[in-house]
This record gives sequence, C-alpha cells and structure tokens, in this order.
Amino acid sequence: MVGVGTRSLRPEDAEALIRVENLVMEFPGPRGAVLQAVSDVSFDVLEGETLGIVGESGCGKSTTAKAVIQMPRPTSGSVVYRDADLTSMDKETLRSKRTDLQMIFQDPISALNPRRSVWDIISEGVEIWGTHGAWTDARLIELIESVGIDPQYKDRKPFQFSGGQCQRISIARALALDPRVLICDEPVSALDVSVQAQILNLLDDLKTEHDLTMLFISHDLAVVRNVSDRVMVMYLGRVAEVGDADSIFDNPIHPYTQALLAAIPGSGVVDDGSLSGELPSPLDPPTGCRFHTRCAYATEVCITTVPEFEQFGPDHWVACHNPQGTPVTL
Amino acid sequence: MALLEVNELAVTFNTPKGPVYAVSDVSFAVDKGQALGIVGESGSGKSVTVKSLMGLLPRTAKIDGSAQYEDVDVFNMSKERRKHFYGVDIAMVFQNPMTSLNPVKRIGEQLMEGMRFHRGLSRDAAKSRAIELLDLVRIPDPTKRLSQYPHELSGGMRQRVVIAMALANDPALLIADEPTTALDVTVQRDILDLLDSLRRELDMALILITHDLGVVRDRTDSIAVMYGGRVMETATTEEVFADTEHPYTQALQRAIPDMSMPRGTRLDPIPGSPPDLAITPVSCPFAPRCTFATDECRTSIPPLSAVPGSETHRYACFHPQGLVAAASTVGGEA
Repeated sequence: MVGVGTRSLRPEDAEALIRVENLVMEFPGPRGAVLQAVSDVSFDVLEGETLGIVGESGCGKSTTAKAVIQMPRPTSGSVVYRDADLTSMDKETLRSKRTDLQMIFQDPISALNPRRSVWDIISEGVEIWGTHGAWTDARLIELIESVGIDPQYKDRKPFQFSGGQCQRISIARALALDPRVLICDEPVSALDVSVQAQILNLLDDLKTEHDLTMLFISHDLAVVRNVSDRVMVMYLGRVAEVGDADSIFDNPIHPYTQALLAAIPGSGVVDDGSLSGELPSPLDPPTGCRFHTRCAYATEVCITTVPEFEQFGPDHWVACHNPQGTPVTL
Repeated sequence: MALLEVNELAVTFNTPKGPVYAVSDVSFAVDKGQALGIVGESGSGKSVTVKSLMGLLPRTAKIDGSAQYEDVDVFNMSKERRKHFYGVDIAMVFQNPMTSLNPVKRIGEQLMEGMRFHRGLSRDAAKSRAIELLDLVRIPDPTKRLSQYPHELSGGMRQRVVIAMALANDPALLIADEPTTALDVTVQRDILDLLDSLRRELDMALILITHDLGVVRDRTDSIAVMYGGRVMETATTEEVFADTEHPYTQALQRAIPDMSMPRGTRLDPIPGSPPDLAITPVSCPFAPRCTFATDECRTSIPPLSAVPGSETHRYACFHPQGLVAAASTVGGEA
C-alpha cells in the first residue's frame, strides 16, 4: 500500500500522546471486493492538542478515529498511545487502556440506553472500574453539574431530556473515567444551531479543566476551525493536507481543501465547478491521487503516481502533484 | 399579486396531554418566481407550516387561518381539485431522499407515476419526459438511470431524482424542506445551486426551509425567521442581513461559528432550550432565552411591527435591536 508518507509526523522527541503510522482499514465488500476505508494514514497528536479531522462522508474520518480506540482493530499499521502500541496489545490490556480513550458520538439520543437512568449511564464505567478511579458519588454529582445538568434529574431517563442535554450526558459519561483523550465524532451535527454553541463552549471548558487531548471529527469546517489546533483534511481514505489550523484555513494549498472551503454557504467564493461529481467508490478507488477524477488541476502524473507530502509552512503538509502554492524547505 | 398568501395560520395538535400549539399567527406571501426562506430550529413550526399547506398533517391537527393559492382556498378545496393540486400546482421535496423514494421500485417508474396520473401520458411519452427531467436536474446518463434502483445512487443523486419527480408536472411553487441537511457541504452546494437555477429557468416560486441562515443568504429574495411557532422577523433577505431587528435573529447569527473567526473564539450561545409548545402562548416564545426580555415580554405577545420606511421588514419584538432602536434613541434625545 503506497501512501502519502509520514513526513508530517513530528520528531520522536516531541513526545506525541497518540502516534498513528501507516494505518490501513479494509473491510470485505460484495463479491470478494475490498472496501478501502483508510489507506495508509499517519498522524500524531501531542498532549493537550486538538486535531480536527474533516472531509466528506465516506472519506474515512470516523473510521480513522475509531481505529485509534481499536474499534475495530485496524487491518495494518500501528497506533501508539503513550509508549504502547494498541494494535499489538492483548484484549485485557487494551480494555484497561480504553478508559483513557473515550468517545462521544453524533446522535446523543441513540448513544444513550433509553431504559437506564442518567445516573446509571454515567456511573456504569466507574462501577466496572471501581478500583481504578477514586470516584465517589459526590464527585460524580459534581461531574453531572459541570456538564450543565441539574443533578436532581439524575434519575430521569434519556427521553426526558432534549438532544443538547443528552449530548451533555454523553460527555459526562465519557469524562467519568477520567480519560486523557476525548474523541468527538460530529458531536454537534445533530443539534440545533442555538444549542451547538453551548456544547462547543462546554467542550472547550472541559478540555482545559480535565487536560484533555481531542480528536474532533466534523464536516462543518467553521466548527473545526473554532476548536482545532491542527487540522487533517481527508479524501477517500487518504490525507490530502495536514498541519496548523490557521495555516490550512488561511492558506489552503490542496485543490480539495480549497474546494471544500469554497463550498461553505456564504463563503463568497464562486463555484468553479472543480468539485462537481460524486465521491468515487472506496471499493474501487482511483489510481494515483484519489482526487484526480474530480480535480480541476489534474495532470497525467496524478493518474499514475500517489503524491507524497511536501512542506508548505512550519507545520503545513500537502500531498498533491499540482499544489496551489510554493513548497518551502525548512 | 402573490402566488401564495398565508394569513394568520395556526396549527394546534390535540394530544392526550393537551393541545400543542405548533404554529401560531403565521402570515407570509410568496410571489410568482420568487424564493422565500423559512429559517428556524426544530420546534420552530417551519415544517408544520408547510405540511399544513401540503395537506400532510394528521387528523389530530387543527388548522386555523387561511391560505390562498391563486384562486384556490388551500384549506377548503374540493376532493377533485385536491387530486390535481398537490404535485401539479405545488410540489414538495423532503429532507431525506431515501425515505422519499420507494426502495423497491426503479427510478423510472417512480418518475413516471405522477405524470401518468396527472396528465394521462402514455408510457412512451412519460418515459421521454422522465429522461428530460433527469437531464434537467443534471443527472448524467439519464436513460441508464431509469432502470436503476434508489440504492444504486449516491445521496446527492437521489435528492436530484426527488427534485426531478417534484418538477414532473411543472409546479408553480416548489417547497423544499431542509433539502440538503442530510448531505455533505459539497453536495449541499450543488443541490442548492441546482434549485436556484431551476427556479430561474422554470420561473417557479420556491419556499426553502432550513435551520441555517447561511443557506438562505445568497439564494432567497425574502426570509421569515420562526421560533416557537411564530414569525419573529420577516423581510427581504437583504434587509435581514443589513439590519437585524429581532434579538433571536441576531443570536442565531452570533451562535454559529464562522470561518472568519480566529480559532478558539468563545461562541455566544443562546442559553436554555427551545420552548415547550404545550403551554398556551401568552408571551414572546423567545423571552426565557432573551437577554433583553422584560416583564412586558413575559406577559404579552409582541405583534409584528413594521420597520419605519420599509414595506417589507417586520419584527415581533418589544425591544428591537437594529436601526429601529438606534432611531428611537436619537429621537428620544431630540
């Protein structure tokens, strides 16, 4: 599997909290075909950093994030958390590591068991890991309060809460195990606009309070810009562009990133038609650069060769044969 | 004259727990070939409003007020008229294209069904019209698509098929209820551009329902912002963005992160939750979440007032925040 390379990874001595190298996720498709969901993706996340992952549906952003917590285990590649490679860990050790890596999901209502009370939902993890954490009931109550839910409602069931409140409960459940890493998969996409900002601000507060490192997946670029230190733009299972969030959003180099930004309503950018057409199937992805079938700048080399990362700024990496900017050597 | 004129529309659902006031006192008009954006969150009444016009509400819904479409009284149509009203005069496109399409019927059959029923077209005539329609919504290779099933198409393509179905009988008004919410930003743009150009090509009026002010900004002539079943502010699109009067419309704009904000910018959320519609409306629905609310807002319903000097800009608020407030301060000092 040829990928865009690992040049975007920070040096070993940067002590990444999560270091994913050459991650491949494949699933069996119909009639013996192979669905190539993630093809050789490498990235790292430093402690306290928020990495935003963006791309259209089917680009592999959720699969990549789930691969970090080995849900399911990747086809190949390594996921190093602190100093341990999660991919080679046995089931029991992995299970205990997972308390450090928690996740919140897009649809907060289906993420919660409808038959259980808020208290049961939030305290279950602590009960299972009882000996590991120093959680007392009082601390759990504090936690429920800290996500903006009145603890007097702790015996209610999820259906008695609004979508925004359910997302707060999911967040409390994730934080009850004192995780180091919070993976947020489209956490505000299903919420009303007036509630989105509440949850984004809450995540921001909790990140500081609990010293969290975050992976933040969203198709909403404005939301990602708001929360991310670094951004990774994915297209059809590969990374197109990765680096410092400001650098990427202010100066997008990859034609795909440029097209994504132009598609935002009210962006004021005239549609040049470069992103017309549909996402090709991951069962039979295009050769070379996977974006070549929809790219306005595609040339012969894009069809034959997978582009490798080149550097366009102190922390700005782009995998493109015809980048819309000038590479730098640092 | 307006193509569709809705006056003092109210929709109440009778539930075992008592009435739910989903829509109250909603009035708006759409002119021929014009685009109206109805903006609101879930529970704002935007979908119930258009569903009442489309005759899609359950029997438990009590509809008051009037809706006049050309010479048709929409809520009091004869059965015969109704049969050839929906799908011919007004057509609708829904949020999730997969639920609008029959998964076990070929695209072609589904497209032809309406034309054959309403216009009595022959199979061949309907087929060539179906190809024409798929071409109109920019679906490549339309002849091949006719024999495909919905699952063989991508989400964006399915929504195009649904739009083609809605256009089959040349409606004068198309209602699109969150047509792009289930789609990616890139596909969203394509679909919105398509609706926009179809409206111009076919001189069709469009009601675009969305929760996203950004979506309506460049694509509608006028906007109605709804909250808690009521119209909070209505004006031409230009007016709303140039001079936002209602605190809710303002809050809605501020609560959404925008690409020009530097990262880590603290957002300005609207506190609290959307209103409980089961309570008899006696106050401004936004009052509990509004920074400017006073006792007046909590005890009486603000009427729609006109912005001086504008025939189109109206707002339902005792404490307008835009030019009206600025003008009254100046007036007060003088």
